[in-house]
Amino acid sequence: MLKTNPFNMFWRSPIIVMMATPLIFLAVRLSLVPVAWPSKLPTECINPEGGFEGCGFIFDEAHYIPAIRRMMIGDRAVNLEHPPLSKAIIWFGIALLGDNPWGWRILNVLFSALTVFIAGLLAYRFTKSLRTSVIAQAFLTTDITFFNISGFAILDPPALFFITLTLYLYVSGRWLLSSIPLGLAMLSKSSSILVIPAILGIEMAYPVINGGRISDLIDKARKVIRVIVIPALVIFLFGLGVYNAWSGAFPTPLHHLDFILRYHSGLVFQDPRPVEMPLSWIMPPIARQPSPYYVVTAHPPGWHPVAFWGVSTPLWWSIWLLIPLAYIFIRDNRPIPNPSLEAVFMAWTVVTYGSFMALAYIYHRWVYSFYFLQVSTLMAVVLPALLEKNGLRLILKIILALQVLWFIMWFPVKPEWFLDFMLNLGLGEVPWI
Amino acid sequence: MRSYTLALILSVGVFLAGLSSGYIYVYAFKVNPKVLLGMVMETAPAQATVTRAEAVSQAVQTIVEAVAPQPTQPKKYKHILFWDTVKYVSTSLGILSTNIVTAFGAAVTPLLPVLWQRKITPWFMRLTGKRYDPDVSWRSYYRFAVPLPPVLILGFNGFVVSLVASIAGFIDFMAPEIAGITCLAAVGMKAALNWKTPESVESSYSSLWKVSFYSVLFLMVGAFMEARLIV
Repeated sequence: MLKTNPFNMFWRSPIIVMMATPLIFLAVRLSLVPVAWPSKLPTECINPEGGFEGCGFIFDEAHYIPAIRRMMIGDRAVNLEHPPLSKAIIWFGIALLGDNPWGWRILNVLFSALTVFIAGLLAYRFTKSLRTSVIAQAFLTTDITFFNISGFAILDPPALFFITLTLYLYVSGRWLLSSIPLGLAMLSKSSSILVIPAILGIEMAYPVINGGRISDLIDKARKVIRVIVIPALVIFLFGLGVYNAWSGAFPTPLHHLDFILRYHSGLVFQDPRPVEMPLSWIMPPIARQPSPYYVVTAHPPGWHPVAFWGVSTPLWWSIWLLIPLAYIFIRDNRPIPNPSLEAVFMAWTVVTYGSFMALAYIYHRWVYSFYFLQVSTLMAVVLPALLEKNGLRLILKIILALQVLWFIMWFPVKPEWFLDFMLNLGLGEVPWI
Repeated sequence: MRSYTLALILSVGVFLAGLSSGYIYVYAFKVNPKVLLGMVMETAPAQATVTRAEAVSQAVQTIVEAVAPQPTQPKKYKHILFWDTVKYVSTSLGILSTNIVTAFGAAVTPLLPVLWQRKITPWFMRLTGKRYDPDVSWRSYYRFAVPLPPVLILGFNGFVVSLVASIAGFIDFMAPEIAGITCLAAVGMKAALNWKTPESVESSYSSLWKVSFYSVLFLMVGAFMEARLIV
């Protein structure tokens, strides 16, 4: 008779194994929280007139932390162009740990660790393979842009968590439940609204691929709208309504929504050269320089003791491989099951990445490379799953090795010996810079 | 029968060769890309391309103008007709038309030697009373004309793109157009790879309409992206 040890079963359960990578991520990312520390008092870093030099802000924190500080002292109607939830989360962190980088950033790091965990669950949901799930988590953790963004006090970490949770609940068949994180994602960052057409696109893709009737298509769309979209919009508008009742900024949430849309419609560029255009996101940073989120330069010798870059990664470039693989699978295996990893990936990518492309190339709206995290989080799940499914394990190992190497190369804080090593190799601190 | 995939890889290679040659010319020989592009634009094919695009664009604008005149008071008529949109769409159609001609040209013109050998040569022989062997004539002359259109068009396209990209400082706005032209030209390249007999050239066109559909989609996206830079 086979004996099962409950202790061993506990440690070998998928959930426990999938908690390891997020915990490592949490430990490493938390250690970088204090690298940008303010030398000025919080009261000196509220108004942008004097500049934010010495305030310890990284990247867009210069928009959100001063806005939160103004809200804390009673000026509640600020930074209205963005929905309020991410700022409320940062505020809560400040209330817990004080007005310092720990308070600003800790909850976002926690949300990002949860995103890594949910990504593992999503991979497990599709593949039932613990190995694939852990590799998926490794891809996401070593995505240097995700890693950097995940610890900034900006809107994206909570939004990414809620988006990933929405996707996980949706593919698990818990549609009504998925509307809750979807509503919260939209309350965190307005670009999360793209999840609605993405889910509609996924669900409507099945009848199209499997040769269903138009009525099937309409039924699917109606069901998604009824069970996911409408409850999510109710949560979103309710959240905006609560904020407006508290701040008195707008009479109704619809007025606020109108303001958000108008504001974002106005962010257009004339000259595309300084813009991180979407096609550059899926290529190595040759044509366009990486974005310096927070770069400290030491003079001399001219290297960067702290450098948070936004840069595309091997995971992002792998879209050139994943799209053909997914397409070939769909073409050769009709009718495909629901949910299908390939259909989810294709529809999600076409809708989200395609929308950013249309916004940038046709509408000329400013876009940034970290917007791609909305796609790359799913890609981290899809890449190992698809390559293992197609028996391309060697390619998977090569891409993973490249990804890890890339992560080490662009890691924000590098030891001196590593910098010397890179400089002696003639590579510079990191290539292209 | 050599496959479309091989032809596509070869087409991308030819395009990249043209692209690299342009960049090498500009950077290695320190040539001003504006001057070089000016010289290229004076050639007859380039002039024809530009004229065609402008003609289509103007024709669309004239038709719309006839139906709904351009508002003299834009604010008043903004709700009726947004004239900038007309200009944008017409410019897109102009760019699209010229790219479609280029792409289909690269795809279909390899069929010309087959047509010539089948239709013109017998007629010419009848006229002059000379006998000829179709197989010998194909092997000796006509098959060599089959690879020329895709190779020349793709190579030249790559060269021009490199000049435009050098001047503008970006290439990504041209990416869908490049993809559309290359995918469709690959059908011509497939014919070139199967140049052994007229029948094998002809049978290379089995996937023409399917590839055309996707290529035209790419070309449409490219046209709308490029027109946005102009209008």
